[in-house]
Amino acid sequence: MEIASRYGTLSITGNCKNAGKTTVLNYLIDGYKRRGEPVAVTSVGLDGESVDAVTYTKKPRIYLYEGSLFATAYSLLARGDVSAEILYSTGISTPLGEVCVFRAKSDGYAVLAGPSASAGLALVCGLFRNSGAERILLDGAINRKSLAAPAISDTTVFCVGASFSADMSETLADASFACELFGLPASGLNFELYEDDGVCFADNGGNRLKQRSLEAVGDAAFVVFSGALTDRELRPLAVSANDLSGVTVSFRDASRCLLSRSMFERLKGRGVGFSVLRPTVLAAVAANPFSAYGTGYDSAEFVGELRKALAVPVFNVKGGAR
Amino acid sequence: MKNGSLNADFKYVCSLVEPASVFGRELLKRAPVFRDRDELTGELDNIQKVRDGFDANRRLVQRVRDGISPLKDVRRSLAELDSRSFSGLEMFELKCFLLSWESARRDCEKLIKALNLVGFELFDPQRALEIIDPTKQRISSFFIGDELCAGIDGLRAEKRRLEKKLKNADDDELTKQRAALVLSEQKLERETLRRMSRELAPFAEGLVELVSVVARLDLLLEKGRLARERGCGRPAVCECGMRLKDAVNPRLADRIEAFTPISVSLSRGATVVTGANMGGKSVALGVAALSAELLRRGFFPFAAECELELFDEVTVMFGDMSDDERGLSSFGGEIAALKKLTEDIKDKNCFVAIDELARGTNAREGEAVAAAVTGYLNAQSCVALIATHYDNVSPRASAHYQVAGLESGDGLPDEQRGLAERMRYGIFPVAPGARCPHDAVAICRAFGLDGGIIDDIEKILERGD
Repeated sequence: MEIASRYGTLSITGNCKNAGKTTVLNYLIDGYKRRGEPVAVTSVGLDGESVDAVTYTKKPRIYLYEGSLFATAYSLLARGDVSAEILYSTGISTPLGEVCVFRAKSDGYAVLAGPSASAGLALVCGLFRNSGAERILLDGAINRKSLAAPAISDTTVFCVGASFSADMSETLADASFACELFGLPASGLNFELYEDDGVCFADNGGNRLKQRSLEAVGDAAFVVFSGALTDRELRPLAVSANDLSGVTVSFRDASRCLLSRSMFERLKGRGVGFSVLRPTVLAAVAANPFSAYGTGYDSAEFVGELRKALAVPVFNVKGGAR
Repeated sequence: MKNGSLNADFKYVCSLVEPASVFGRELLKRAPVFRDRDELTGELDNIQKVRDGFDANRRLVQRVRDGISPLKDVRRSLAELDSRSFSGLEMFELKCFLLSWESARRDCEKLIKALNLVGFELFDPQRALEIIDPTKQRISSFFIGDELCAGIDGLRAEKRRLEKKLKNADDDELTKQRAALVLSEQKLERETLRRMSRELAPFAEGLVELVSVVARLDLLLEKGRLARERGCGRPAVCECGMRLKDAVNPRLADRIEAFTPISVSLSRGATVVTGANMGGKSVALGVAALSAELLRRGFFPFAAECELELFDEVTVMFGDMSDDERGLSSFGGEIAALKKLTEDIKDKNCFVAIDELARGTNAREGEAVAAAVTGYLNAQSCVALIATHYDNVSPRASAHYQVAGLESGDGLPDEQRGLAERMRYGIFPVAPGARCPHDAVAICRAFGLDGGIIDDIEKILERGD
């Protein structure tokens, strides 16, 4: 809680479904309530997946306190039981209706489905602040690959759940990889120069070089991706015969990196560095040793292993939610 | 393409006006045609008042714009208000609309009075607001409390009491009690929304009308501003023809520094424009057509002075008329359009502008077609303006204009004087049958076409073959 309270806008992401995001969210809401700090909450829509009412019904309920702000699709208000005052309609439409900003007029449950695009999230966060919220919590999408981008949130809590794999070493390795991506340094490049192309090349000073293929990376210091980074995009670089030491692959932020761990390691092994436009501030890792598939881990062992593997605070939220 | 250039010209004019409200922007997009002369005159009177009073009321105009710009479109919900009740979100939207309008209305009223505008009845939101906000809190959020639904606050207080108890201990009985309270609360909210919707239904029509009043006022202010900025004279709506003094096409005039304004007087029947290539025949046709179109859509034409009739239709036939889809060549497309035009002018009062009629076929037959069509249009009740290079067309028209064309390059090699410098734009009346200026060779020379070709052209012309 002390760590969380250093930041204005905090997003919560997870390594898989049932990673424990809602538990963490409810834990943080309770924490802010105890501190007497008004909080505003919304959820990131299901980025990149087919959004349907059925999926939304599976969204867990959040327990809010009177005075909290929240943003959700209007029709979901009836699925919760909190009394709510409508403050703003945002013009952001979802299959479940327009996203509205509400103030809770009682304690109670709410079902959240907020905007999925970052522009919509930024708008909602702005409306939250207009209404006096200083603490904003964003319930992230299902996995780390579509987390609330650092463009919007100041920091992230990453939930690592046992539902990821029955094999704890797999879960640990994936979590280390994710934390490594979160921890990538800032590139210092001006991305506006490279906006128009999917991939382009820059020299040490960030000057754009004439477009060349990834195989012949030559004397480029930076390979800049303005969109998402995938294995397929980077394969030509991985199989190139050139010396890749000193080459840095740069992209917007960790949410754009869809690389497999093996491709990432392979490129690193050849001397390739990675950097981002906006680094993600990882506040903490929340460990959830319980698996939805009944293949959980020993709690103490899991937390201990995560602490050994990761350089960020690791905590276990036990039964924080109602 | 038929009417393509006219549409582009009109769109450009639309791009010069920026209504502040979503309703004004929507009205501009439709730009409905005025069919009734009195209605049009009323609109022109109002535009004139805005134009003349704009500077003195600049700040008030801005306040009106600021006031109406946040109004959201609630018409879709209003249209269904008599058949179903509003959701909380719709009630919230309507409340925001009424509150915004309540504060915008005062400035609108002031401005209408200051400018003496006619035809603007402003809906008074008070009685509708009394239903949504009976305690006059005037806060732009929506929540059903005791002031809207007696007893609901007590129910919520009980819910809160149970929540406090539940926080300390999970208790099935308390949870059940709380769930029952939540159901009662939701039921009361639904009933309240139904009651409010019923009470608001009689205001729906007035609110929809208000939207159209706001749209008209919003667009009117912009039309007046534009007329003021561009020095447009108030058009007189006359019975017959068109008289323009110093008229321009803003789409061209904003790009070309020294655009020569056009002055022309057209009566019923056909008027022919002849003259040098690049001398401004097409521009003159475009200005006349745009002026007629602007008046039809309730704008001031871009002219220092003008007098126009309200046409039912404005038709232009410019440039390449070919139609690949219908398998028509340029000449074929032109004739197909002419056929339609001859049908249209039978029962409609049309303005017609045709550029270089029948130029897409051989010169001999082309000239015959152009002369015959001109003669036909001259005998109809339409107003037609026809540009041509053919000599034997103007005798069939009732009036003839000529572009001034190239000045002679006396004493100077042609290449040393820019074409534009030597071209005298603008059109002047001449007698029907006056010979067309023949400047094609001079223009070839001014563009620096190969000297051998020019020599050959001149030899051919001398021989007369």
